[in-house]
Amino acid sequence: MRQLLLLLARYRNFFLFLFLEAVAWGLIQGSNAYQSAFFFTLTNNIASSFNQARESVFQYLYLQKHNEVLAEENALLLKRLAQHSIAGSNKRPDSLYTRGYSFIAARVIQNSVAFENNFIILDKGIDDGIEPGMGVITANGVVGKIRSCTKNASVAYSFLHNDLSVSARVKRLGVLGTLKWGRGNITEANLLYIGQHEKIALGDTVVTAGFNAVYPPDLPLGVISHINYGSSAIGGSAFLDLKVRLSTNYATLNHVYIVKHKLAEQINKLQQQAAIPKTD
Amino acid sequence: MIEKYPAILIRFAVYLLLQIIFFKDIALFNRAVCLVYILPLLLLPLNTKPWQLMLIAFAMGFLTDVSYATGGLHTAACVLLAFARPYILNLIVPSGGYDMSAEPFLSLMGMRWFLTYGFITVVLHHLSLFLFESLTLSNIFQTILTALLSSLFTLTVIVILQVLFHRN
Repeated sequence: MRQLLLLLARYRNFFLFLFLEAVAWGLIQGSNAYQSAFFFTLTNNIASSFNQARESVFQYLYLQKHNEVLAEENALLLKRLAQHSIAGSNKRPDSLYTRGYSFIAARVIQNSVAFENNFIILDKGIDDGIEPGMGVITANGVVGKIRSCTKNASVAYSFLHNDLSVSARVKRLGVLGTLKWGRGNITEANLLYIGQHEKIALGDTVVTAGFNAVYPPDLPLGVISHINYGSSAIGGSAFLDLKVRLSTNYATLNHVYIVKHKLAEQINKLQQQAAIPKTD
Repeated sequence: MIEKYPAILIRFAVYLLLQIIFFKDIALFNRAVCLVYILPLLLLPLNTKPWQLMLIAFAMGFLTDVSYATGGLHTAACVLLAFARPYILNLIVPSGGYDMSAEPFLSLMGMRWFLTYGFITVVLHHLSLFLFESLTLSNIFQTILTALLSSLFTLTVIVILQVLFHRN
C-alpha cells in the first residue's frame, strides 16, 4: 500500500495528465456522437449569446454583399415563379406537385471551414419546427444537415464534414452518384460511384437527386471540373475519379434555408424497416 | 509570484478574446489557421508547477472548445502541451541556465532561444490538435501539412505580438 502511495505521489503529474486527457477525450467522444444534452446546452448558452453579439457587430460590415446575394436569389425565384405561373396557369394547386417541401429561413451564427469536420450554428431551433436530420440549403446548393437542436438554435453538419454525403445526379445524363467532400480544398468535392462507361464531360452540371426527402431534387451542387479515367483512389475500380467545383461558397454563408419535408418521418421509418443504407 | 497573477489572468483573457473574435475567421490559403491563444501558456513563469500548468491549460482549452464548438479537441492538445512544457524547457536550457522566477518573454530570452522554444511548443500543439481531429491515417500528409503551415502562421503572429507589445 505504502509502495503504491509512493508510486502515485512520485508520478502524480503524469497521473493528473492522464486524468485531464481522459476528461478531454470524454468531451470529444460526447460531441462526436449525439452530443450530451448538458454539454450542448452549456455550449449553446455561453457561446451562442457571445456569438450573436459578435455577429450583430460584424454583419454590418457585409450588409452590401448580403443584399446583393439576396437580390440575386430573389431574381432567380421570381423567374421560376413566372415560369411556373405560365406553365401551370390552368392547373389546380396540388400538394402532389409541390412534393411536400417547405423552407424555413435562418441565419448563420457560427461557421467554420478550416477543419476536417466543420459545423454550422443556426439561429432557429425546436420552437421554429427544426428537427435533427433536416437539410440546410441556399438557392445555390447544399449547405449541410441539422445535427441537434435546442429551443432557439441548432447545430448542423457542414457539407465540409467527413460524415456527410449527398446523393447527386449528373443533370445532362441523369446518372446517379454520391457527392462527398474530400478535405483540404473547400471549393471542390468528389463525385463517387459513377461507372467508367458513362460519357461524362467537363462542365456537366451536378444536381441533388432528392432521395430521402432531406434536400429537394434538382438543386445545383456544382460542375464537373476534373475527370480521371485511369487510376482511381479505390484502385483499378469500375468507377470514374471525378471532381466537382462546388457552387456554394462555404466561407461566406449567411442566409440559409432549412428544408422541411412532410413525409420525411414516414420515409425514414420505411427505410429503417427495410434496412436500406442511407445517402441523403 | 503572487503579484504577477492579475497580469497573467488579463493576458489569458485578452488572447482568448483575440482568438475567438479576430483569428477564428482567418484561414490563409483556406488552410493555415492561427491559434494564438496558446501564447499565455507558453509565457507562464518558468517555475510554475506542472499540475498548475495542466489545470490552467485544461481551463483555457475548455473555453476555446466551447467557443469553437469542438468538444474537447483544444483541451486535449493544450493539456498535452502543458505536460510537455517542462521537458521542452529542460531540452533547451541556455548556457547560463534559467532564472526560474522569470517569464520567458522574447525580450528577456533572446530571439534565438524564443524561436526554438516557440517552434517546438507550437508544432507539438498544432500537430496533436489536427491529428486528434482527423483521427485517421488515411490523409496524414494533408493533415501534417495543415498543421505545419498553421504552426508557421501562429509562430509568426506570436513573434510579431511579442516584438510589439512585450518590449522592456
